[in-house]
Amino acid sequence: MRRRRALVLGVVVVVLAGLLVAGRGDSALDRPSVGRTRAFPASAVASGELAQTWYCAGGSANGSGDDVTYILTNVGTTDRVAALSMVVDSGPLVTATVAVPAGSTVATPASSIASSATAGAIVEIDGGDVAVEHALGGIRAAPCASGTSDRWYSANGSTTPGATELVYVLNPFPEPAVVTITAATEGGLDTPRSLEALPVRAQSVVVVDLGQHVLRRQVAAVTVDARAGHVVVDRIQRFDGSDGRVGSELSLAAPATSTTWQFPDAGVEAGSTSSESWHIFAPDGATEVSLEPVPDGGGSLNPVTVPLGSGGQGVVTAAELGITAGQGYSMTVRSLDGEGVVVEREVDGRDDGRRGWSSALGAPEAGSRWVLAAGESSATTLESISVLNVGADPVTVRFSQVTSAGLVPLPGLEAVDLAASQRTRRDLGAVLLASPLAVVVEADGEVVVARRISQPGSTGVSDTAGLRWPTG
Amino acid sequence: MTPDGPPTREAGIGEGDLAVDDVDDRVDDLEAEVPSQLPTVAVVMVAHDPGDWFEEALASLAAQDYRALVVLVVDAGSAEPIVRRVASVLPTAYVHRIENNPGWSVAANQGLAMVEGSDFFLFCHDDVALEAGTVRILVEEAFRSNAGIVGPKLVGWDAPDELRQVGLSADKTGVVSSFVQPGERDQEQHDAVRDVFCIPGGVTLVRADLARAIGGYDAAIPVLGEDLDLCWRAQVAGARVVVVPATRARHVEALDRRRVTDDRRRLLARHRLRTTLVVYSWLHLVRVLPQAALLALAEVLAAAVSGDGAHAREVAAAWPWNLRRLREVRARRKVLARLRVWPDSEVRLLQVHGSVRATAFVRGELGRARVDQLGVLRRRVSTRLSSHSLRWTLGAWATVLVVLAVGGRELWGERLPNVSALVAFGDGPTRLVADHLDGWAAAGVSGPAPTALALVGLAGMVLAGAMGLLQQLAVLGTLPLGLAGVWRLARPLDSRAARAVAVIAYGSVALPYDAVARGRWGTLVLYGASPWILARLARSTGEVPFAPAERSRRRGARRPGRVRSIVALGLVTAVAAAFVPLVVLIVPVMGLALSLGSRLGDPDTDQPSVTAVTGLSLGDLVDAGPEAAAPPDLDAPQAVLAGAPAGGRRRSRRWGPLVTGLGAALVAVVLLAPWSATLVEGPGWWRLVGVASPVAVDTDLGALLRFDTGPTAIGVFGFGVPLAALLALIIGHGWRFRWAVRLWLVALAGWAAAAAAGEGWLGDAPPDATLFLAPVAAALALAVGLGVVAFEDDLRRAHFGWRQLVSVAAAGAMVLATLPALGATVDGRWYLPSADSSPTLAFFDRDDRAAEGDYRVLWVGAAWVLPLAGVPLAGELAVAVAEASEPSLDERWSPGDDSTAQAATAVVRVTADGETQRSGARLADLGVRYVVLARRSAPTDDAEQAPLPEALLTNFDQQLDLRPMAVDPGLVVYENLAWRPVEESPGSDGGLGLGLAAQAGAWALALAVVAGGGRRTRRATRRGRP
Repeated sequence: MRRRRALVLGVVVVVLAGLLVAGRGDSALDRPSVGRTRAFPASAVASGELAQTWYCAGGSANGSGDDVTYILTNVGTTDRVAALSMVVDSGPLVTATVAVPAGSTVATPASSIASSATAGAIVEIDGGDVAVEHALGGIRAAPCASGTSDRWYSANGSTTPGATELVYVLNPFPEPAVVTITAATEGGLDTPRSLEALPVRAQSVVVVDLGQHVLRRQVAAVTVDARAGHVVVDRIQRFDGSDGRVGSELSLAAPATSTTWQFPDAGVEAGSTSSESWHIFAPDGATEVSLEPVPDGGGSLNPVTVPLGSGGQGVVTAAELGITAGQGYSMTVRSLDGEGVVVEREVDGRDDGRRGWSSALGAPEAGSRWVLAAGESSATTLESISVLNVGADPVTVRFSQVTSAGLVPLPGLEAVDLAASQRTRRDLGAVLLASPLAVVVEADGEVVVARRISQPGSTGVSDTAGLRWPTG
Repeated sequence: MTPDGPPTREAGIGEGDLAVDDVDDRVDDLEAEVPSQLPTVAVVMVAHDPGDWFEEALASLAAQDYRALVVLVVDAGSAEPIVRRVASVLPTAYVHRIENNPGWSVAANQGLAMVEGSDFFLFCHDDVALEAGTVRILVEEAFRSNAGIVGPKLVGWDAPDELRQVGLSADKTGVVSSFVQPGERDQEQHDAVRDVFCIPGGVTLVRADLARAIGGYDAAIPVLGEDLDLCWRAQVAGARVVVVPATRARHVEALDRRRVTDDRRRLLARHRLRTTLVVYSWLHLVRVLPQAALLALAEVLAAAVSGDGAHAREVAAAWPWNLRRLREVRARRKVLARLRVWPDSEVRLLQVHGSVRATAFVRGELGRARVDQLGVLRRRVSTRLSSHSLRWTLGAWATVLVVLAVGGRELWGERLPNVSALVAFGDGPTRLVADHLDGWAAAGVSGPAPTALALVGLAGMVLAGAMGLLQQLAVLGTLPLGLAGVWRLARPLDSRAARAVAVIAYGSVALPYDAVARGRWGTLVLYGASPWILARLARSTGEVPFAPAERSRRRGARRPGRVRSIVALGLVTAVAAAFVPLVVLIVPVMGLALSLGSRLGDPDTDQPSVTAVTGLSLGDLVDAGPEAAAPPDLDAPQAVLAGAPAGGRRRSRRWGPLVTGLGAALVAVVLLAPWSATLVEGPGWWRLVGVASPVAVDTDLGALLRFDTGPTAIGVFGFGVPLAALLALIIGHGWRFRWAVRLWLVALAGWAAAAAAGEGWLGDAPPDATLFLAPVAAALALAVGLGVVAFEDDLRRAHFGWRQLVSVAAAGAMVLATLPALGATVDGRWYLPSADSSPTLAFFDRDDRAAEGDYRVLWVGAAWVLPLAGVPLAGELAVAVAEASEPSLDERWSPGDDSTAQAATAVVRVTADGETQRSGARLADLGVRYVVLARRSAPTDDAEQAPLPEALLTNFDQQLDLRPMAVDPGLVVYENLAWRPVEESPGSDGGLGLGLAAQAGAWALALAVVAGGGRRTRRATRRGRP
């Protein structure tokens, strides 16, 4: 009996101990895996999905200088159909169906669909593999957003005399949104009462001329905070040349901050009078950022550290980084204490070959496939693509043209080797003349890609990061 | 008349015919060996946990010079089998072991029934030592005096010169009167053979034909008064009762020492009244009974006036006790009337005149203690804790009912909020029954309707359509139902203290209160059903004390058939499974655990198998004489009769619970058909658990051990019940230990299943972990009760030491375990949220359906938050489709055809993955107008949170055709701008009609089997009664 009792008690203890050991750790049920969130939404081309929707907030369709054109590139092998719904000044959406055959690029002027002072667009694709950009005047292109967000950031902008900073807020949803726009300027944060709780009707675009509310600011970084609903934000910045800066530019704001921003294309040509600067915006809180340029051809430059107050913004010129004209380099901007920031690279082009103004976000994430939907390589338009290897290992990069026959490697660019942290900038005009020209960049490692377009002899430049095209 | 019921083929009793034949063979041998004129005497010594005097008592039998003697020792449930003790002293004896102590009378009757062919029976206590030649002298006197019952002079065990009894007399009401004074010296002053009214029970020689004719002892008088009853009836039948002082027997009179409680007065009062009611003819009874009543009333008043309330209660309680048994009394009177030879007037000649008690009262002798003073204090304490005290019953039930009444004071009689599974029984009973008959499952698609609808509908009809009341009963009523189940479950323990403590233990676990707080109706159903299920499974073991044989045997009842047992449990299982389909799996698992526990806790597996002992002994016995030595290697008596059943039989019983559980599950599946067929059509647990998949409990083992599944548990107090349940495992002996092992196996199995469910080891959308804890709680509550019995029975023999300390610790743990349940009473609603989402979702029921068409509502959230059946999405998340409006009762269970929900799930997946911004258009194909993402079980702050994945929320917010509606912070509601009305629903299926008809037939058949079996058992009981 005693042995039996000991045996039974032993069994009880062993079973309970077994359960105790086995039950340690988190339950698998505590981690239901459903759905996907993109760390940095609105910057990727869906691949293999049922559908994807793109949102283009900025531009107009009434014959003004800001008339917008939607550029749809099907990089896949399946024909797609897009429902392009224009959000007009008043009334319901105006929808046009746009066929986007496989391997093709289709440009659809907004004015061909409807006439409106504001021309937001909701582009619904019946599948993946279609990238959408929108452009002002042909080359001043910027990606549309592949998602909405309740926060948007723009690290640059100006409301000085002669400058016009327009903030486009698109609400594509059937419920009204309410947004508050805050400007971070050299004078500190500025939240005009008129921009607080700004209603954005369902399926409408609100255009805010920031200069009407935030006066005469050299830099006016913007935060758009949607208290209700989700929106998409674009910025159009214009300079009339009165302060030397000239040109206009359309850009998509950033839907999230990031601790790292990478720019594969930096530097101005030797002898140029153009200038380059870096605009850093810390909307989430005080932080310190490090700007780490990597010059071409080896060598090194000391990083520059910039302290930023909460909601503050800062500007660092290339000269302050020790960069001289003719020095090509890549740039990595890091937040040193984990606080997210938004970074843009501003180019004030004042040369004949590159006149205009642009300010573009870098790439917060790397990828192995990138799409550059809008583009042109012709006698009047120069397009170059820069690729930065952000990994620690060498990569091989292939540049391909999107054609109806599939992706066709560009001559001489079938296999470009890049060492770790090395970048390359390739002028497409040297290998191919085509218009439109959609390019896919593929690498066997993690890279970031940027595009530069300019038209010598005329005003207008475009610098923008590519769109990631995730595999699978 | 036959003795009380067949002694064989009963669970826990014995070898059956083999054993009987064996003793009979021995008697036949004796008749062949001894002179033919020498009558054979069968000594039936009933032993129960005998003290150290036992060997001397056996030796006195061995020393008898009477050759035609066979000794049968009936081991009446001794904690430690006495086989070896008997073998060491009296190897020629036979031992018949009864697993549970049925009382002296029943045990003696079994000896009477087992031996055929003897001329006399000598019934002996285990604490008497006969003088050499006693048997011979008694037999001689029996012949000489032509006496039916003969007894020796009883003297003190340690003081042989001190008289104990020389026969007894009695008054008309059955109060015995001794011929000797306490402490009277034996100076041969009583040494003359004479007729007496009664031979005191230590040593009683009874002529076999007489014993059989009058049916032996009265089984309802297990001890104290059984001797008077036997002798009185013998005299009515014409037999003389004679005391033979020429021979002596030393008597320990160990009853006082061995009964832990002082219930002599209570038992004597009830037993003498029973005898009085049985033995008199009607004419005399009419005269005597009023006198007995008056005397009892006088005694009660005298005791009350003197402040001895216990005395008054015990005397008064004899009357209701006997009134409840009038049917038995009538049956015994009929039997005795047929045997009557002497009229009462003749019988009464040997009685004393007047009232013995009145005389004793006048003399100041009433209530004079005869027990040693050292035992007074112990027995007084024990009496206060008497397991038979009504105080335990009243105290326990008063406590738990007050806790339930106070704890749920804001719920009783009020509308229960629609929290999680607590869906209102809104539809009328006829609608529910009609839904069931239509074979239309409302959860989105066609298919067999849940059987629960019919059950609820029928119950609603019984309550005249009071569906709110019915919901109260179905939800809150499960608490008292479970407590009543434990009370019933613990009844075989035959200890009110044990039953009371078991009920309190079951009421102390936090599980049911947490289930109320979280709206876990399924857990409440299991809480109410588990004790009843466990009781059925326990009976199927065929093991004492749960085997019906042991209790029914005393009344001559038959053991119900296994088929009936299975069907009965199947009915219980079906009713529970109609609401919680998982029960069809839980019941077999409980059966398996009990079966494995039988294997683990059976000490017989450590000993030579009983079969081997019996086989060897029987083979030797046939040819051996009475002096034959026991097999030397076994050190056992010639034959061990029963004790434990034969190995094969016991082995088959071990799997009885498993077989019964499986059978019951099968019966339940049949009874729930055709709906049950839909539960096994597809893979996954979710079909068996419906919407309920509450894994939002802390699956840490400590939390499971504490039953910490919600807000009720407080710190470590929840460990109290498991700790208290260990007591029986630590100090229990015999069946108490074996049952503790079985119950702990059930508990371990339940905990393991709960841990597996909580940890996600059972796959996607596993069963609600708390469902498995209800059987655990029931098993532990019974184990706690077993601990009380072990304290009462097993600890009595132990010296003071660690066992007592462990018992005190267990008692302390049990007291602490009640604190969380008591604390939960403060809230008044067991933390159930005070509001629900009904008002905010009322717009679902707006009247524009006629104009706009019917629509559906898509629910997404943790399965335990959803108020209706769903299909798994990921982890604990589920997707459900409701037929518009607020979810109703008929949407509680998984639909048979879930194509709508599956299609909706696919849409939810692509939406959550961000692959569409037009999920509304996709859902429009399913008629979904509203999408509800449930983040909380109720809109109040105290409701349980069920956070949804950020991706799900974000991507639903990205939908271009879903308009968010701010209605409730706990719910994210969208209106689908692209919705289209639901298409016409398919009509009912003719095949389903046939299925439902078959289902109704199956229920009727099952009820008939159970009811018919019950009638047969009752008839058998009546036939078996004397």
